[in-house]
Amino acid sequence: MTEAVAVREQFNTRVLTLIAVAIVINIVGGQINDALHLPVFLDSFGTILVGLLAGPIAGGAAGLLTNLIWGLITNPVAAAFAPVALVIGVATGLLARFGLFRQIWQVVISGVIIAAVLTVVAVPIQVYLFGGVTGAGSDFAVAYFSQLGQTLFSSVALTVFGSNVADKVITAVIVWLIVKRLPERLTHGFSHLKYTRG
Amino acid sequence: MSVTLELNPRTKLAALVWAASFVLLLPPLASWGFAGLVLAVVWGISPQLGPRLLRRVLEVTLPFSAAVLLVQTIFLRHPDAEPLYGPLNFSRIGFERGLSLSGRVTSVVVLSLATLLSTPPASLLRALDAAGWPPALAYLIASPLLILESFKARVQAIRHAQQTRGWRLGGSPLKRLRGVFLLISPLITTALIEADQRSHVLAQRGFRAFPRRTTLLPVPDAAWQHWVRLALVSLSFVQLGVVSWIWLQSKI
Amino acid sequence: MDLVAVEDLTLRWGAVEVLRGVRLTLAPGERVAIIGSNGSGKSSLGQVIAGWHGQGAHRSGTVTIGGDDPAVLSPSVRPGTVQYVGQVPMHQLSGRAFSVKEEIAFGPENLLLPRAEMTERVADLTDRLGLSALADRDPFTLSGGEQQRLSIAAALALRPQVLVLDEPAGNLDVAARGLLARAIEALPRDTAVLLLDVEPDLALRLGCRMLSLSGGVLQPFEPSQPLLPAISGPGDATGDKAILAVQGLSFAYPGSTPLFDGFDARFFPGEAVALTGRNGAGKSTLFRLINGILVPKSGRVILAGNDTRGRRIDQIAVEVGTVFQEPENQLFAPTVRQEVAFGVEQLGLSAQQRNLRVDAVLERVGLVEVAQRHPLDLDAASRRFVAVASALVRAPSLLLLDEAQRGLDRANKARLATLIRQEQGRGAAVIFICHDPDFTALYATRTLSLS
Repeated sequence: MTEAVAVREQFNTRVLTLIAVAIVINIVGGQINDALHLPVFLDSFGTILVGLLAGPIAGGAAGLLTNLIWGLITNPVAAAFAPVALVIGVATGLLARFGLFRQIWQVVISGVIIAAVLTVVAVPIQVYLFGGVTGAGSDFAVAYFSQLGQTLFSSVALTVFGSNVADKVITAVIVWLIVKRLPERLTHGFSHLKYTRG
Repeated sequence: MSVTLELNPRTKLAALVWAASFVLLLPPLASWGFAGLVLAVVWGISPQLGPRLLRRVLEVTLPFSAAVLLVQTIFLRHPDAEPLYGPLNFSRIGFERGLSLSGRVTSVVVLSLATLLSTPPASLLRALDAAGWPPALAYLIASPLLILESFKARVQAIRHAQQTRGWRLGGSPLKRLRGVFLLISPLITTALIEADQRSHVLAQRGFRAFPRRTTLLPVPDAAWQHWVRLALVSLSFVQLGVVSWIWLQSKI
Repeated sequence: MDLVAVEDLTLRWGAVEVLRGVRLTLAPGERVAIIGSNGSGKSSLGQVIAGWHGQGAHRSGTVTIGGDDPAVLSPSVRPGTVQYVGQVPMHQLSGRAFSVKEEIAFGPENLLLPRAEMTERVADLTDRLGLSALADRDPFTLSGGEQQRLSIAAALALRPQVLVLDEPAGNLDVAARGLLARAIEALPRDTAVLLLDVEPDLALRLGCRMLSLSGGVLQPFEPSQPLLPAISGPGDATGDKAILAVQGLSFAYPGSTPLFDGFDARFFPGEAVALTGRNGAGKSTLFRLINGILVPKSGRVILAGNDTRGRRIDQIAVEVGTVFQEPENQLFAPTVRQEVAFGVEQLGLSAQQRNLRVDAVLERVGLVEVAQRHPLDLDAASRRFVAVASALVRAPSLLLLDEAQRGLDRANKARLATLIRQEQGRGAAVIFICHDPDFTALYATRTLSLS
């Protein structure tokens, strides 16, 4: 066993335990909003955190598994939207890789891009599997846009993007602020972070 | 408890995949019947599980079914839409589509919840270990389930710690936004400390030293279950193929 | 032939040098204790010996166990070579096992041991560490002491040649400490043990060869350490108008037997009251009823003459300062100074007044040198003092300390006691939950025992 292999093994397990806590951060994020009553979801802190620290593949896994576990413990419908959570993590990792998580204005733009990309994935799922609704309050927005003469597809797209854009910008900015200031002891070994901290 | 609830968890998962793909082939009303049938069968096998299953299914599917029926029937402008009241209209196509979608979703929800409620996560993960699945995957399912409660308690503890040094819960949207930071920041940093420690603990206990692991408490399995799983999964592929073909035909 | 050999080990995190030129040897089966104050580098040393921090710019010198560097041992060999059990019980759990026996079997399962062998080891270790009655419990629902014994069992299941125990009793109360000490005494004789601790008591009881670590440098152990100093200050209440009066207090958690039923107590200026009682007697619950986190079922909590009923936690916090057991649950700012300053932001003072207060408290608590450091870069004891400072900066008339002395070395206990005395002298009342009889005997003006 060479040193490189041992170090790689260590890195892998570090990312693994990171993803596990990130999944739980995603799940309890909603609990924070129960206390604060803000019109946002706050359920992707963990996914974006992993995307920044460990890159697109780990970030995608964190998102995907969050929704699968959500499906396991509360609502099986969440599992159908797992691909949406996945692209949040992948997009974050890639945006960070291309240096779009260095300055606060870049982070805001990245939040908007993440919301746009997830909309592209969410809309076909919501339209084809669920007839455009989810059983949540945002269904009123879908009904409203339909009344204005929009097709179901564009009604859902407008609703999904509109309800996600503030959430993803806020989440991205907050996670970035935290990650940027973390002490070395905690970030040691997360190689993807170099693209964010420069 | 009956034999169906003692099946190897992997066999139950295979049955779930088969049944979920079967639902896609059913006509709208039949999918509702199928959901009812599965519920009745589970209730018959386990009178304790039945009511719990029904309650969970209703919690999940009622809001969705109501929403999809309303939006499809009244709000969307299908070709056969007839004016109803003001800007609202009634569409039979929309009604049927709503009924079909909600029937399918309800069936899949009933199947998933029946599988989950009858399968403790611990036994599912033991079955995956026994079958030689990658330890990393089982870890990523097990660990969040195990640490969830301690994280929920920590969110409370963080909130109380900030309030007892004068932070007011509520206030203007901007203040509440700052509150998000006050609450999420300790949660993330404590989680990183915990994850860092745990990664070392896992490594020193030989986690992933080999590409598979064994299990102290074996889960019963049998050769016939292996063949049943194979048959169910193969049949699922066939069913999904048929569904895709029908869908493509309808688009052309 | 030495089993463990550490030569000229130096370790640094960022700009901070944690270990400097450490040399240490352990023979097979030997018991060695390293006594060091908070932040002396004990944990880092134990972790390096356990192979946790691999080679790199931050580490120089050599560490070998049986001739090999533990950090580069094959992942299937290292578990049987060395195991490290850290200070925070929950962090030592694998997060993969749904029961105590599976947690113990986690390592053997990874190493593909035969089932009969695993069953035997699990049975032996549940018995040896007093876990038999808990074998089917979810590890995350156990108490800290139970989790600590479980972590040791899980480490021993891999039959390591060396077991590193880092302040194994640091987070435990007296009863749990006794159980743990007995379990350590019963460890297999062929396992070498390296015990890292702030106090020599446990090490002496176990008959260890003693060393001490100070400022990252290993030295011979000096047996006559000074006792806790007496610190002058008010020996009794300095005023007769109660700061806090609890009247006819009743409270029960849903589905549990009542913790308080018509409880009365009064606390006066200048008092330092030790709150004692076994685990589950309601000490932390009483704090939560006082600072408004919990609402009493009946009875009144009267602060400076006013009933707290109907007041929000942050309103009560103008008079009551609370220091919780885990400071990490509140740390959010990038520097110690900003963290402490947060407490005064809410008080409606001018920027100049705020700065004066923050500077004064940092000075008083002894955090000036680390004021610009990240709170999480500090050792656990310093983090505790950051939490103490963020309560003191608000100048509360009542200060609640939930086991703030726990895990502190003597110098830091004296530092905490000095702060308590200063608060008393200012005319505030201090209530502290404490399991340490020496600390209570020296620094409490009276003791209130809950049962």
